[in-house]
Amino acid sequence: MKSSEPESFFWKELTAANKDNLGKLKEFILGHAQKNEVPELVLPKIDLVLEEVLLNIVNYAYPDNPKAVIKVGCALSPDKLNIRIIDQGKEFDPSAKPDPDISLSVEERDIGGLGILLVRKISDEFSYQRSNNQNILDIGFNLDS
Amino acid sequence: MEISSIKDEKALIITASGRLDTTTAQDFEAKCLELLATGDKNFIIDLSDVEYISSAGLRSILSVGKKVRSEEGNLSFCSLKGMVREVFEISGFSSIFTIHDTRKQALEKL
Repeated sequence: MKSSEPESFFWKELTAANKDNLGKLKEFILGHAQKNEVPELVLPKIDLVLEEVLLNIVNYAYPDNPKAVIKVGCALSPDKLNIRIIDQGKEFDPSAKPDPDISLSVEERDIGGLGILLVRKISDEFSYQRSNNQNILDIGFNLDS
Repeated sequence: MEISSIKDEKALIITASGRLDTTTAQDFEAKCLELLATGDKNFIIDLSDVEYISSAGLRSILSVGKKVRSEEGNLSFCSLKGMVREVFEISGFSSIFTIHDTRKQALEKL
């Protein structure tokens, strides 16, 4: 279907990425989405998914690495927002993380593992590939619902 | 994020507003734990003015929940909106915690 093919990506790169400056990458994508009239309801979903994924990259692909480089790109088509996140950190596939058991009680529930569960459920597409020593994540949001 | 509390005769009501994310979650947790230590047993956290919550926010809520349970207290949440409600449902928090539509209902059910 032609209409769902993404147009070319707009990119932003962040060097010396850490948990305190990840907001810059988020603002870039959200700004681009707003400028192009992505529906209001989708914006907090993009916000959440980016926060979770970028934090995971900083924590697991670049543990204690002051030279972390993360690149985000986005492409819009009438019915879809595609986001691609590329880093050169350690091989790390967030999509392979098992979901936490959400049926456990408050006492039994472990405190971690919720971020990627949220990403998986809130985005419409979430896939990972390792290529040329890079981690590449593709995340998609449907805009027609 | 702003956090305030009101003492009702049946419970201590904690109201948060703004974003409950990586940058605010620790502060939220610390303030709640402080309020928990004031001697009350019944707590209601009113989330009507919280517009955004991430997994860091969920973790802080889970810590607060564990603390209340360990002291045999009672914790409920009320007035969840939009994506906060959705995130509570996805993560299973809607079933492990008591959730009410309004503050009035939360107080009545104590």
